[in-house]
Parts: sequence; structure tokens; C-alpha cells
Amino acid sequence: MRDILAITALAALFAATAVNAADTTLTISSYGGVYQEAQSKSYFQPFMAANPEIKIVEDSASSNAKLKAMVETGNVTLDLLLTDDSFGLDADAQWLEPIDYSIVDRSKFIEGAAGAYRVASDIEGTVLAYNGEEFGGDGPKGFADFFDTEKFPGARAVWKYAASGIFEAALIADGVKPDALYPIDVERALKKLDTVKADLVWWESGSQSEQLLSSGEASMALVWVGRAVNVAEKGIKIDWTNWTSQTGYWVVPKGTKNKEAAMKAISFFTEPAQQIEFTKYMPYGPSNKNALGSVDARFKGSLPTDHLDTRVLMNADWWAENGAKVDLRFQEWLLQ
Amino acid sequence: MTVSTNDRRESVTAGPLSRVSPAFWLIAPSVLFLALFFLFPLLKLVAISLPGGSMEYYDQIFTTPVFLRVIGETFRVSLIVTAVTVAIAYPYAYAMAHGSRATLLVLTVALLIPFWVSLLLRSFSWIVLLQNTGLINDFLIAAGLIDRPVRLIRTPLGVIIGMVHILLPYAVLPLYTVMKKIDLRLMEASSICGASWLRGFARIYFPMSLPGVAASAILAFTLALGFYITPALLGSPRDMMIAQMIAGQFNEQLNFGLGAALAVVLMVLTAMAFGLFGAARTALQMRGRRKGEI
Repeated sequence: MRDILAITALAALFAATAVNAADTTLTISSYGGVYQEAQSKSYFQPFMAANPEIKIVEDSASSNAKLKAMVETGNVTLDLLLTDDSFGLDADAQWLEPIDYSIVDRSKFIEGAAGAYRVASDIEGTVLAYNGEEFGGDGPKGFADFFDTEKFPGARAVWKYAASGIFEAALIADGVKPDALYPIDVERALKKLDTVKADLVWWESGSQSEQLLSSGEASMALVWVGRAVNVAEKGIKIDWTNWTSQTGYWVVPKGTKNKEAAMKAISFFTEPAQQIEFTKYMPYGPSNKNALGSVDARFKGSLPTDHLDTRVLMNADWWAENGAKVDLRFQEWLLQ
Repeated sequence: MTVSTNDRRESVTAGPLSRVSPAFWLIAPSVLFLALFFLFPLLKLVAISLPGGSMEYYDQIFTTPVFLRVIGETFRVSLIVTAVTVAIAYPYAYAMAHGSRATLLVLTVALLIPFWVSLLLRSFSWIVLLQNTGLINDFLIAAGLIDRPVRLIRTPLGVIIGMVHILLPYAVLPLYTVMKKIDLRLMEASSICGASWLRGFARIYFPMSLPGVAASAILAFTLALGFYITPALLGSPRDMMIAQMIAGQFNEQLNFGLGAALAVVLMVLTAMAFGLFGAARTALQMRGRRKGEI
């Protein structure tokens, strides 16, 4: 009898240990800075409060190269990562877990936000920002004006990255309709870019783009909307006539031990309450269509999702297929 | 005779381990560290650049004009930067080695404080100084010397200024150590013999400082070849260096194979440049020794 008691006690002890061991640590990597702080406040902390058995550990900065290397070496230490338009496509299947749509509700997302391997976290954009003081009330309107150096003289800052939207902007300025952009006519775009080449200044980091605008070094720029809003008090204005889409996506690396918790987290992070809370801190729009109408008043009007009608939707699949080739041609053009 | 000495030595140091020189045990941890954290990843990098033993990435590099041009540009910029850095470092180190204690202190502080500041921060500071709306142009315009900003940034000049500033400490310190050991009484002796200062310098001081010049040039050149942030921030796209392309292949294109192959090419070319430097130095020393014999 006493033996049985002892065994039961021992079994209970083991069971308790097993419950403790089931506690999950979810490691999430985002892009750091104010962006990740906003995510922490509106996504991570409320998630931990609602799911005490899951602990979120934050990491930064997320990098597609790191994810790829991690999966290839079989040492997956991150469970959930934020990525950009260039990654998480069907072509990247070998490095990613498919999104489990039995856990994540696919119908709640706006068009194009839910893919086989990625789900949009927020809708961002690359916008035309300009120096309001320099141009007074008569600022540039749309990509055509961005390429008009006679009417709007001055340096133009652009991200030195082929898939940044610069090819799309050049073609639209050259008269191509947004729905006829793809396949991109690379040579035509470069010919249009040649007309402003002497006035182009290339930026390679978000902070550099802010610096170029706020110092007056560049009269206008194509920059991430968050960066343009950051320098609004320095007199930098945003023109929404044309803008190119940019999106933050959640992806789950292949081979993570916490796949289910990661899917649960994605589902939670993309709920209206969380996404509305996020718009308190960042000028990025929600990917959940039920959150679109109730965004916080702080950045109302400066959110990309307030201007979906003028959005130029970038074709990530085309870029995934042709990016490497176009990049080489772009580098060659830069060196000329 | 020799055989017996060898025998005796072996009988004293018996056992396989004790035959190894004690110096080996001193450096063993560093050798192990390098093997594990440097040699192994390096071999891995080479392996990534040769998927299944295929040379496709190397073929691509040597048949794509963009890559060849950027590699050429990297060496050209690095050579110019090395020449300018050593030219500035030489008088700087001379003043440190032979000036007063106060001079030494001021020059050392001025050299080393920026050295401890992050490279990124220093490159950003140069933007603030050099840009069209920057301090230098603002000052020149306010002083009435120019009426339109001089283009300093986004030019090869901007890259050279930024890189020279960052490399200066690496060039000054080896020069200083060599110059400090040069006996200035030799210069006095030459002037007693009737040589002008310039002649004494050219015939005595400068040849004696050459090992320092070689060391600082090698250091500056090898470091310059790998520059990445500074040319990106201070140069135009035309001043692209190979490290930027390597980073682009890894981070943007996710093409690890091509990125690794570019890195291996850069490494091999650097090693070859090193070899050339070394050969030139040896040749110089041989000549010096022969002269010394006369």
C-alpha cells in the first residue's frame, strides 16, 4: 500500500514537471527600434498576459539571410520573424513552415495580406516626401513631378535597392499605368532614371534618409512612410498621389519546435484590438480589414491604409523571379 | 660527431610529448582558437562558394563586367587611400616620436579618441561636415569664399577623406614604434659631416624608417580593401567597393554562394597583394644589406 502511495506521489511529481516543461518560450525577431517597441506594447505583452504558459523573448534585428542560414544549418533558434516583401514567397518554401490557416483566420485579412508562408503584420509604404519650406504650398504631386527637375529642382534621395519601388516610380512617371507595370521594362525605367541621375542621392539606411531630408540636403525623397512622419516637424511633407506598397510580414522558420505557439501568436497579433493599438505608436496601417476603420487618431491620414486607392501594388513574385538579374543590371547602371 | 650530439639530446628529452617545443604549448590555445573560429568558418565559406564542386559562381564573377569593375575600383581606391594615409601618418608619427612630451600627449589623444568611436558614427559625422548643407560648405559660403556649395560628399574625395581618417591610427602607430628607435644622433653626425637636413633625412632617417612605412602601408591597404560603410555613406554609387557587393549578395539577394565566392576572390587577391608587398620588402632589405656591406 505504502509503495503504491509512493509511486502515485512520484507520478504526480513527474506530471507536474511535465506541465512546467510544456511552458513554451517563443523567440521573436523584429526590426528593433521604435517599431519593435510598438509591437512589444501592442502585440507581445498583451499576448503574454492572455497566454501565461507562453513566454515571448525578443530578438532583433530580423534578417532574411540569418533565417536562411539558421534553417540550413539546422540550428533554428528563432520561432517567429518579421520580414519584408522580398521574402516569404512560395519560392522560399524550403526555409519556411506554411501558415496554419486552421489556427489563423484567413478571411480577416485585406487583399494580398495572407500568403501560403507569410501573413502581413502591417501595411507600410514608400512615399514621396518633400521639403515643405522649399516648395511652399506648391509641392511635387506624384512620381511624374519627382522626375521633373525643371519644375522641381534639387536633389532627390532614393533607396539604393533595385526592388525599392524606384523602377515602378520611373515607369509611372514615364506614363505606364500602374496595372501594366509588370513585367517591368528595365531598360525603359533606367532610361527614365538617366534623366535625373545627376540629381539622385542614394540612401542605404532609414536613418540616412531622414538625415538627408531634415538637413535640406535633399529637396525630396522616396522614403518609408514611418521615416517621413518622423521628420514631419522639420517641415517635411508627404504626397500621397502615388506611393509604392511595402509590407511587414510574419514568417515561421522551418523546423521550429514551437510551431503551434507561433501560429497562435500570429493569429493574436493580427486581431483588430492589437492592430488598432499598434497605430497609436506607428504610422503603419493594419492588415486586418476589421481594424481599418477604427485606427487611432494620432496618425490618421498618414497611414498607408488611408490611401489604399492610390497605392501602387508591388509584384513580389515578379521581383522574386527577376530580382537577381535586375539587381546586377541596376548595379551596372549605377557604375556608369 | 653530430650524430652523438643528437643522440644525447634525445636521451635527455624522452617521451613523445616532451619532444614538442615548450613554445608550442604557449601558442596552442590561440592556434586552437583560430582553427575553430577562423579556419573552420573560412573553409566552410570556400565550400559554400563551390556548391557540389561547381565553379559556376567563380565563372559568373570573372565573366560579369560589374564584378570585375568593382574589384578593380576597390584596389584602386585602396591604393590611393593607402598612399594618402601613409603620407599624412609619416610627419604625424615623426612629430610624436621626436617632439616634446606635450606634443606626444596631444597628438596621441587626438589620434586615439576618434579611434575608440564607432566607425559608423565617424562616417556619419563626416556627412555632417562634408554635405552641401554641412559645416564646411556653410562656413565657406558665410565667409564669402564661394557662393555655391563645393561637392565634397558623394564624390571619390569624400570616400578618401573618410577612409584616411579611419585608417590613420593604424598607419601612425607602426611608424611611431619604428621612428622612436631611430637614433637622432645619426642625423647630428650627418650634419657634422656637412650634410643638409634634407640630405641627412633622405640618406639616413628615411631609409631607417622604411620598415615602419612598409608595416603601416600593409596594414592600411589590407583594411582599406574591406571597407563597406564609409564608401556607402560618403561616396557616390560609382565609388562602390567589393564589400558592399558581398553584403548585397548575402543580405538582399540571399545568394550565399555568390557572396561567398566574391569574399574568397577578395581574400585571395588580398593575399596576393600581401605576397607582393612582402617580396618587395625582402628585395629592399637585401639591397640595403648589400649596400651595408660596401
